[in-house]
Amino acid sequence: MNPFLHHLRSERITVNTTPQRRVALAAGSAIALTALLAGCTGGSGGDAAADGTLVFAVETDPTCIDPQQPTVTQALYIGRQVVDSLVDQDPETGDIVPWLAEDFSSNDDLTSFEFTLRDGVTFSDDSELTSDVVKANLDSIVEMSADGSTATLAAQYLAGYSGTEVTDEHSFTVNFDAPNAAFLQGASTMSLGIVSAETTEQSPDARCQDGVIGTGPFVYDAYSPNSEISMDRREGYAWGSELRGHEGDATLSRVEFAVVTEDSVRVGGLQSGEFDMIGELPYADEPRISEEGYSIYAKANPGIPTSLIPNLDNPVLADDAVREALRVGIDRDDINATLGYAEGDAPSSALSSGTTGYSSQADAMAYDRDAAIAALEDGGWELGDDGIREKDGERLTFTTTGFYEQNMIELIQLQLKDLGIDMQINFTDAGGFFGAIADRSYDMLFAALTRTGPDALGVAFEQAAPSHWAVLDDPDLESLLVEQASTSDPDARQALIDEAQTTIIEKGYLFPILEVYQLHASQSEVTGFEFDSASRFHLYDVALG
Amino acid sequence: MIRRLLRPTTLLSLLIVLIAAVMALAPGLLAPGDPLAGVTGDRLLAPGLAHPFGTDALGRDVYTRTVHGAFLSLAAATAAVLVGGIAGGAIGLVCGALRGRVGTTVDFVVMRFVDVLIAVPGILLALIVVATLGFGPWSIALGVGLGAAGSFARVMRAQVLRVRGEEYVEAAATLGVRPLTVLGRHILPNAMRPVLAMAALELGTAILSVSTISFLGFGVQPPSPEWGALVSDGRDYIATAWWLTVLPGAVIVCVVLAVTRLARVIGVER
Amino acid sequence: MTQAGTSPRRALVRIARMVWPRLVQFVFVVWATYTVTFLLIRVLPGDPVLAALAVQSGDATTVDPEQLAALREEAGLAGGLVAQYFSQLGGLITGDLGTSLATGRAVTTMIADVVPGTLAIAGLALGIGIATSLIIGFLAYISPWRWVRDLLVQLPPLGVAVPAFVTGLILISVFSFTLGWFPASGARSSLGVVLPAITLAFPVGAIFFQVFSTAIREAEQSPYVFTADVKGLSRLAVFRKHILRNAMLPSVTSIGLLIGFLAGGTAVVETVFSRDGIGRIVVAAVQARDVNVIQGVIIVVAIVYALAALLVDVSYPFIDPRLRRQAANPGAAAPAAGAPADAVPANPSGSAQSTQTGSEDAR
Repeated sequence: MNPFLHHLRSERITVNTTPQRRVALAAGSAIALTALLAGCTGGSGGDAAADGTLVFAVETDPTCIDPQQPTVTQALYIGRQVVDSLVDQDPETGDIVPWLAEDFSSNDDLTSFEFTLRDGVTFSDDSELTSDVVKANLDSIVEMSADGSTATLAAQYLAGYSGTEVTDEHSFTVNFDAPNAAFLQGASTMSLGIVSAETTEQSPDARCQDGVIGTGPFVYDAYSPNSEISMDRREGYAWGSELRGHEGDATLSRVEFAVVTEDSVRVGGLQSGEFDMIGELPYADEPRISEEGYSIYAKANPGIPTSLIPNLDNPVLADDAVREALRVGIDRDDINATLGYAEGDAPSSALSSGTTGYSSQADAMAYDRDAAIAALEDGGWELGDDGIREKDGERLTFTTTGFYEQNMIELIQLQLKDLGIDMQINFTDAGGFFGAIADRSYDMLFAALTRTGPDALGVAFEQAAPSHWAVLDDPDLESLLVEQASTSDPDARQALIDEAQTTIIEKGYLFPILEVYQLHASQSEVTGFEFDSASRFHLYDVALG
Repeated sequence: MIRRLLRPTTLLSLLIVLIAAVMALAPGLLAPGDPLAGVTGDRLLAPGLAHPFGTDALGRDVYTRTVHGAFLSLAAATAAVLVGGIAGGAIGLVCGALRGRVGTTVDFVVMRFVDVLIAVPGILLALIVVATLGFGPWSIALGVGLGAAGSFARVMRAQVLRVRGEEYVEAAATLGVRPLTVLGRHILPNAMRPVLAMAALELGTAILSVSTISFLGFGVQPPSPEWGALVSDGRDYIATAWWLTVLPGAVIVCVVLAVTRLARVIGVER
Repeated sequence: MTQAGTSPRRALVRIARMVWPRLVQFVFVVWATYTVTFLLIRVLPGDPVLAALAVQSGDATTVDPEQLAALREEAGLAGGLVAQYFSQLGGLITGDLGTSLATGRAVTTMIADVVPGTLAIAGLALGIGIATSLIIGFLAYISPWRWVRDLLVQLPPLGVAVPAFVTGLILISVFSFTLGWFPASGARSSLGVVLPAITLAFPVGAIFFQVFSTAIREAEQSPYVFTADVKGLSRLAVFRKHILRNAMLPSVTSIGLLIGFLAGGTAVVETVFSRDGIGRIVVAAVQARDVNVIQGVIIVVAIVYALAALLVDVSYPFIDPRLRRQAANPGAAAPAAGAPADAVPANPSGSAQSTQTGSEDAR
């Protein structure tokens, strides 16, 4: 800097406060303005209550808002609000009750199901619900799913579908080539929710992005991917099932689902009042949120709990001693206490406790570290220098492939290391996961399988099924699974399912780790939230305090 | 030079960089524990005497994990700068040296492809490379390095062109010194200085890029404690356990600032 | 702009001669980007079809090999590489960027839908960052105390050193959860742009400041500022009339670079703030091996960047009169101090290639 100028500059000090003051003034008014605006939006939670709009933050974008096509949980529970199903299922008792069909029955070998629709049901485009429309629904599901690209869950419920016979405008019969024990249960879900005839004629992609026309208590307004899904009340709704809490139109006038993937942001939004309800409350936050007075809604997912599923082509895992050690050597209670839902229980069978047909295998799965170590030593696996067991020069190591719940896999890794088992982690994405299943290139899978009923076991283990996950060769188990799917007598079916669970656990075909809970939270003023039998929910009775 | 070095901020930066180096090369000295071991009963403890950075959701000591994660972050960043510097520098050198000798087309075409490397945001390029080569610190290094190579190429080329015009180079050529020798003995050493200064500064940026990619989930396999992965792990607990994000984040900031400051000091001196 | 006596036609020819090489450069860069991304993405391992299916079908995803093979053919991923290259290039020229495998929507629509959100954040970040830099630069300049100036100059580099994801999470923690002033996520409220923009404004401002403060320092040393000071102009007037205008020239060139930086920075910010935008769909696309989306976004970003660079390049002569004559005669000597740092597409004439301040902090 030019020293000559320094002298000149020092004389100007007092004069030059003006620009600084200007800056300060500008900054001050900016802050004041912001605070004013913030005040307007800060109470958005309260404002929304007066309008009857529920703002519900969800964790994942549904990617497809047609309830018949996707399997993503968020897509299912969002889609549940706009369509009704032929029947409903009581989540407590498991009984099937009428809904759109006021009467239904099946023949003895579960290959033919008759339905009589109730009168006066209309879609939101004012078209009538008739047998032809239902037939169009079922036919289009089978058509869409033929190449495996979509509606795979719905197709599983319609396994063996041979056609729908229309008797008259309100009566029809659904026929199957082979006994389908899961059909009625499936018919109560949103995957077989009924859409309008016009919707069935649209392309699957259009239905996914533009929405569907249903008979449900809400009607789609807009879907902006990764951002928001909104729906308005259906005026004139009068055909809820007997399991609902009131009759007539839904209590809420509008529902807005906001996609908020960051957990901390979603939970924080509940606390700041930005959201009335949030989905997928992280287990770790539950005690704190519950203590602060928010309402918590929890239900165990039916189906197979989050588990380790071995590929028995892998020589290490084919070793019975290794699998026996895994059966009793994992401290599930510790994992549950550390990373799971605080009020929930550790899994105790191949099926989760919320599944119809569940029977406890707790004895076979009781944690016994000593027994695990004994099993390994008896099997010839001796501790090596690095703390990992060896047998005939081969290390006891395998890789687990998973694509979510990273922390949990790490915790299992720590526990197994203590036993001398080296479990490597291959953490990938959904594509990588299913790719590994498709070409059977995994050692051990880590995932859960959510299904409404015990047919989850078939999906995972039946080697004849197209999408099975487990790789094993057990003809007895295979015949058990095939038989239970076609047994109509509930008691006989239950006996087969019990035996299947016992076999799977005792032979170490599955190592359950944690029961998956649907965990949601809301402001304390929100009432009327109800889970359905598939652990998704109805917003029909919900009111904002 | 010594006076510059003795300024307090520079000394502090030097200290931080030395500590970072020790963390990377001999983590056991600073954190004797096992970064992978955790006592689940001690989960989510706030920073205290026993655990200076607190513990995470599985009861693992965050300080130990941070120290052991230094190698992954710093090695990947250093590798990235090396990749970018060598690849980019080589391209720049060739283009600058050949321009005019064999016409300008080669230079034009190659520099346009270099423009692509600069036009595509570094993070996106790195993401694609990582997705292609599989997740892991070395693919991150390659991805980040490729992103930086473009700038290195430009700077090197500019410097080579500048030095080519200098008198001593003309003199050498007139004296009949072979072109390759001119390149190696005169052009390269003089052109390299600004490039080296740039490399030192790029190291700071590379550390940030590496942690960002880890944060986005394209990084190391769990349970590796790379710094970006640590911050990412902690973001679900930001309301209850701020130390999981803030402390590893602060370490990143300190190391990047220290590296950048040192690079500036050294760069100016040259 | 035209000198007295020059016909408009000659001026037009001069402009065309100046613009033409830049235009060729622009087209070339876009083509090169397409080619490089095409090759890079085709090397991506993993099965894009399976990844796409898994997005929607979850745990009911089919794993039947026959069905998968059929779907692969349908998605056009079974054809030859060369055929794909040219057909996609043709599509690119007509503005068709293909269809996303994961969502089934047209890539062009997907990008068009999210661009406004990204632009809002990027624009605001650019504005806040540049304004803050200008203010700090000005305050540092007029400050009579050396320690204040030193302190102010140390602030912006912090902006680059702190990773955006840390800044974002801290801002959310303080301004959303604790104070409740701004929403922490989404685009439902128009205030939702504020925190993400501030998060990005830190590094943007820091980068801009590097160039700007160097330019101020250089301008300060120059004779015309000395003259102005001696003439008795106030510091503010000197700053406004002389320093600012001359410092803006190299600073404007860094805007091209900032655009490139912003395009990458939005990936992190949109993830942290759960906003839809360019960055977010690219991250999701890489995870889902959705090759068409990746390619589409990169090409769009490259086009925007190259266009910005082109515009900046072309605007030099309008901003700096000294460059006008030089632009018309590419062989003429490069102008002296104040020439743009090489932050923007390489000027083939090689003028003023000193890059210490420009590109090193630019990434």
